[in-house]
Amino acid sequence: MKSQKIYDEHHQWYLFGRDSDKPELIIDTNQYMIVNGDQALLLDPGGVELFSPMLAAIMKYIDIDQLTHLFASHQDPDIISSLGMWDQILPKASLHSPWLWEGFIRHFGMENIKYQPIKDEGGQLTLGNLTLEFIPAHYLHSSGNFNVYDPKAKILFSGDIGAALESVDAPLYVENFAEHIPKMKGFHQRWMPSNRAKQHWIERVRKLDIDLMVPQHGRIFKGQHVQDFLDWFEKLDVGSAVV
Amino acid sequence: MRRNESAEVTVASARVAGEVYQVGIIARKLSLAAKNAMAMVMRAGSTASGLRVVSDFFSELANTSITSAHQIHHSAVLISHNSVAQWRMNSFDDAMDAACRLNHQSKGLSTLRETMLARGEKRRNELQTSFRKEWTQLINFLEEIDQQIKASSVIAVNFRLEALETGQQTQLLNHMAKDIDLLSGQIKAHVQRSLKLLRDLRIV
Repeated sequence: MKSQKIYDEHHQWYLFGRDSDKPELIIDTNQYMIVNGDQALLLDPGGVELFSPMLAAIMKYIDIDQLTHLFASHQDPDIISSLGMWDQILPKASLHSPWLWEGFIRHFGMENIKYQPIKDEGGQLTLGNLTLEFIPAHYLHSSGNFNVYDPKAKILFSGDIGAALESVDAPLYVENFAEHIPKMKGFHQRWMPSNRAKQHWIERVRKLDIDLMVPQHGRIFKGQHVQDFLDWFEKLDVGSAVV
Repeated sequence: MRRNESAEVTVASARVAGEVYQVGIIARKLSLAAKNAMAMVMRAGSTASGLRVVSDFFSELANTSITSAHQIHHSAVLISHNSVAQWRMNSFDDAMDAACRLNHQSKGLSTLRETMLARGEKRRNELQTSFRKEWTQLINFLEEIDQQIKASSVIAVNFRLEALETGQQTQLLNHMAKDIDLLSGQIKAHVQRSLKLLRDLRIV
């Protein structure tokens, strides 16, 4: 599994992904970790198949006691099916996730970690002197779904929004937006069910100051490519399975 | 418990739970058959007093089977939970080993692994102790029913002989005896299959 620091000023953001050793038929995922002093937050920790490489990778940068918070944008197995494993080694940690999914996510095994439900309208998490915002992204694609916005670093973790299905050797950043569209189009048309929810999210996100938009699959959008994505997504008709 | 043994125990105990569920259903039929036999005995009066003892036996056998089926089912589910817990612990140990192999330079990771192994050892011992207790209880329950069922074949023969003695409703009583024999035979088959499933695992 590759890991890379993608932001390092007041605090740090790390990306973990592009795992060439993962079982062939499971989808490649990006995991992110925000470290601020002696506290760290792991965003969408990944599936149970990724637990070992993830643990090995994060311990290159922090001590396990620093990992105090987990965030799961929604309930999918590629997001949080590793929970039963993290639960063994992080008995004092909190999991921040939509209130809607608590009873479902607990099926992955959770005896020690504390579930901190996020209300539909969103909320905040304080990590040392850093305040992170949970941005509602319901129905994109999950019916209870959140992004995480870091106003200091100007980074938006967008979960499945902006995702692209690519090989594990794909570059980390979008280089040519037009060339990247075919890798995202089918995913967004099929996985995103609601045009109304999409427009609502775009309006909300346009008000944020974003340098990097980091999705859970595929490549990172930087600078102008963030606006390119919002413009493209705005025009895209989603919910393609209903003819 | 060996690494793959916990998966085998989980499957075997779930199968036993399925077998004893069938025992419960058959035992209820046996109870009904025994009640019918009792009613016939009452109607036949003093000439059928020998049959009363036999129908009482089957009624008791049915009740014991129903109660034991509940207890066995509970025991099998506890064992299944226990073996799943051990199975998950083994998976966690494997995942920790894999993480250490991937980042063998991290002292923090190897310390974490040692801590988790020590903590896991305590929990594993607790699970093993309760597993052994539940396992013994399950075998005992099954052996108890097995013993009672073995006696039932002999009693069924007596039932037929007593039915002939009464000289009344002989055909009907014979038919009932056959039913009871058949039902207790079915219970016996399920119980023996359960015992075989457990004994084949060779857990001491």
